[in-house]
Amino acid sequence: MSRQGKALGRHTRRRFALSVGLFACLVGLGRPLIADEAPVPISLQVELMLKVAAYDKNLPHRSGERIRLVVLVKSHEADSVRSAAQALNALSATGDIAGVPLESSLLTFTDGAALTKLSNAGNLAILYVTPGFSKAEVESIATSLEGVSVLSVGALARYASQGTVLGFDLAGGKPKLLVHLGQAKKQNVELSSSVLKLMRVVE
Amino acid sequence: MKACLAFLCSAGVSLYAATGRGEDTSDLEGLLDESVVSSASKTAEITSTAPATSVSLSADEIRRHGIRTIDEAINFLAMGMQLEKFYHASEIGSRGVLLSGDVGAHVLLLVDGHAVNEQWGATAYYDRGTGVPMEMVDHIELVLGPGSVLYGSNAMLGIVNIVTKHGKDFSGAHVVLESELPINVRAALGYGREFSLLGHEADVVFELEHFEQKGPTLDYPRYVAEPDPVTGMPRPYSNTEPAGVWGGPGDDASALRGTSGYLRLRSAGLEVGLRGMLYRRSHPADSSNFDDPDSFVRDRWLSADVKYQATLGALVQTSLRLYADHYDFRQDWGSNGAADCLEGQDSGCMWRLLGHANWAGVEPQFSFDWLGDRRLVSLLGVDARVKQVGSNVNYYDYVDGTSPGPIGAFERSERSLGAYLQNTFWPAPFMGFNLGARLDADSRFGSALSPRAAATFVPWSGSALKLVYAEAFRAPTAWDVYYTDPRSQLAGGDGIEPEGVRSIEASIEQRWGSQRAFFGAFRSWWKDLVLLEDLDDAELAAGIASEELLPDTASASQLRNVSAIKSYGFNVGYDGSLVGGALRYGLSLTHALTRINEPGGTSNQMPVAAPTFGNARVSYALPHDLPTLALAARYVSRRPLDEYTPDNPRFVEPQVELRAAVSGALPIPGLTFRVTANYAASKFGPYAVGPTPLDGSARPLAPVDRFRLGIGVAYDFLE
Repeated sequence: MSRQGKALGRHTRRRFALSVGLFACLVGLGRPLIADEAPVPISLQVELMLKVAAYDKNLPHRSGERIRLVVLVKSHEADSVRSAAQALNALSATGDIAGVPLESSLLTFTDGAALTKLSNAGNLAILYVTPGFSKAEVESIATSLEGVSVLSVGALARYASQGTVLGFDLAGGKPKLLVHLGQAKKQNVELSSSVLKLMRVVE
Repeated sequence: MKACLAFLCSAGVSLYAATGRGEDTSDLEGLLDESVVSSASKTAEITSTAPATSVSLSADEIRRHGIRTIDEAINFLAMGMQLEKFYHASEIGSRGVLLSGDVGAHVLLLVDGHAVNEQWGATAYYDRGTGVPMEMVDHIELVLGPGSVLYGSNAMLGIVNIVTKHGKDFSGAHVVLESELPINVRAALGYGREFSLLGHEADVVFELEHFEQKGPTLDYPRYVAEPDPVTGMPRPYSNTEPAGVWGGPGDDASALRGTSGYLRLRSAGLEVGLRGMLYRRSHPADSSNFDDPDSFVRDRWLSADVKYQATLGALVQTSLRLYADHYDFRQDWGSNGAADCLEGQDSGCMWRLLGHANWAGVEPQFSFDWLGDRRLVSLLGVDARVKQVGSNVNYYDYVDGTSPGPIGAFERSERSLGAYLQNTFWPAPFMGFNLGARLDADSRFGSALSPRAAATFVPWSGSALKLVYAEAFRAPTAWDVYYTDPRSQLAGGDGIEPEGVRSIEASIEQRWGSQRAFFGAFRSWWKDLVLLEDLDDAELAAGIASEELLPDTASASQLRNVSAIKSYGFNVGYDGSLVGGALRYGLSLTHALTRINEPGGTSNQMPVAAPTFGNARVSYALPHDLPTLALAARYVSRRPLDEYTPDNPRFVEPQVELRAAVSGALPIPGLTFRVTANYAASKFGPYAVGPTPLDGSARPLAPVDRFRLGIGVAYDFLE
């Protein structure tokens, strides 16, 4: 090895060690830093959610003159906050679903009871759950919505198996709709067989 | 016949019944057909808003058509790119430009974002040598046009990114056995699953495959070739023909063997990829002899990639990627002719080229979401890499098996650094801009800047208008820069600059329901293409004076930036689905006018590159447990041969390839089958083979394998 080669070798080793150290630090920072991004772009999720909602036979009964859509966010989860902003941005371009005016708002998650209260007051027709929620939290949301007429939609695939009526997945580079039929029944969401055919049933 | 008619009737009835029933869900189907890609901007987005013309080929489409390799997928299913079969390899081109003999160096091939093009000769294969089992492929993303802005070298014609499946889509154990009767067999074993790792969701997929091929035996026309210029005697080209006669049945050297494996692990922001490949092939016409089984090409790859993504806050995301690769190459090229060998090796020799490259790098990347809603995002990244490349050539005498020593040997340590910045801004939902640039500095060639500017407009629902300006480069290979032969070739040296391309394009895309149409026009300018140039007398004298050439050298050459290309044309694409996605169809057409400027200012047609090419395909998944039927066709127009010059203006006739596939489930749970049939209408490809005939006639054309039937079974042990 030439002198230049030796110098290069030393620098290379140092740089490599530095990189590994940086990598270990990043990994070691642990749970709060882990990206929990939705694989399906949020703007596409919103489009799909609104399309599916239009096929929900019970949407007109539950919404009345105005469809109220709530974007559920966890204030301390960066991915949740960012996704919520994206969702609201995408929703701002949509005025109605099947001719019924759409009203979107943001709700910071506290517990399931607050959701139940909101839905019982007739202020909730569609609930969009952003990324960043734990399994227990999604399950608690599902429990609190049992018996309430609302279409709950999860930004991540795992949310559907944990209790949202709809979820989104990506396979073959294309978005997939996931449906939790049991939860749909509990939340009075009724989709025709031709729409269900386009979805993957998770429960 | 009756059974066939009954089958077709039942298919027609089911199609009619399905289309005429239930509410209209075509809008929803259309949205579910949107392809999500990430290659163009390193961000997940739908193809219509990506800052480049992007095409995505899904695993479902690949499965329906019984596709076995990446080149088949591109040729039959994609728009804008095409591959020509060259011996056992494939040469990739895009939008009217195909640089024959470049071993894939003008397209960047990625596997899950990891660059495959190696650092010695920039090789990347799209045939059996890709090294990613097709069962693992989730989708293939194609970015047409220059794409160096985020990736650096090689992305001149475009980018091909193979994205593999997650554990959920490859769950369980999988055994595959298939054959294109009777010439080859492929066996594969795969496994995938989701699990919990340290409390986080995780998934792993891996597959090992082995492929073995002997044949096909194609007939090459027999003819008497010119005598060896050194000995003046007829050259023995093979053991089966008299001296001086080339050709006959190519039944000994037509062989292919590949073993590869790929593993991918994902868990909570961490992604690990490991890929290994051993690929050996030989061809009757791929040496100076005919049908020489001792002449072969072998490539070996080993790659590792570890990436960790993290969110640092509502506005900042980061990732760090570490990667390391090994590649080595060996070509044994036999010749019974003294003219191909060193002085004194009158009975012939084995020319052996060895090359290798080892490289490792680190790529930190930061994404700043300035407004917190992805409307204004900056992506900043740095890619630092160290490389070791080396190569040598030996001529082994056929008589005593010895070599006088290596020629053109080099070993180099190199460094490179690439830094890129991309800004994406959507001031309104109907208008977006993407501005970016990457600066690459490399101890091999200096520096290269690759900017890109793209504007996307969505004037009405389902539409997208795009304007894109982009530049890209290809770094000179280690071979280009360092290889030298004191008898005939000077090293390219510091004088070689990166090849460059800039292009502009405009496109419009419209989706209505589950139908989609695309039209795009493009123009590109290429400069500084590297070609082997003969030295003039003064240069030859200077080479001898500097002792880079031997004192008695009569002529020599050097690789230089001497050529340029201009190209313009259009792409048209249409695809759609009906019956809830059961019936899928599509077509694409690309037409380009391309001229390559040779040294001296002459402007010629581009060898091998087809001005017009396209495909059409349709597939229908019959209801219940009935099979899926698929038919695809590919058209490639009349094109110049690889040896085309204005003085020797030879062309090969258009090619039409048909492909039919039937696939489905067998009565045993977990067992599936597929049957494919390929037919090529034209007998020849655009390559001339063999030595110069004695009678002055043209060299024969490489025959193509015209008909091949394939069968395969797979057993899935689902969890």
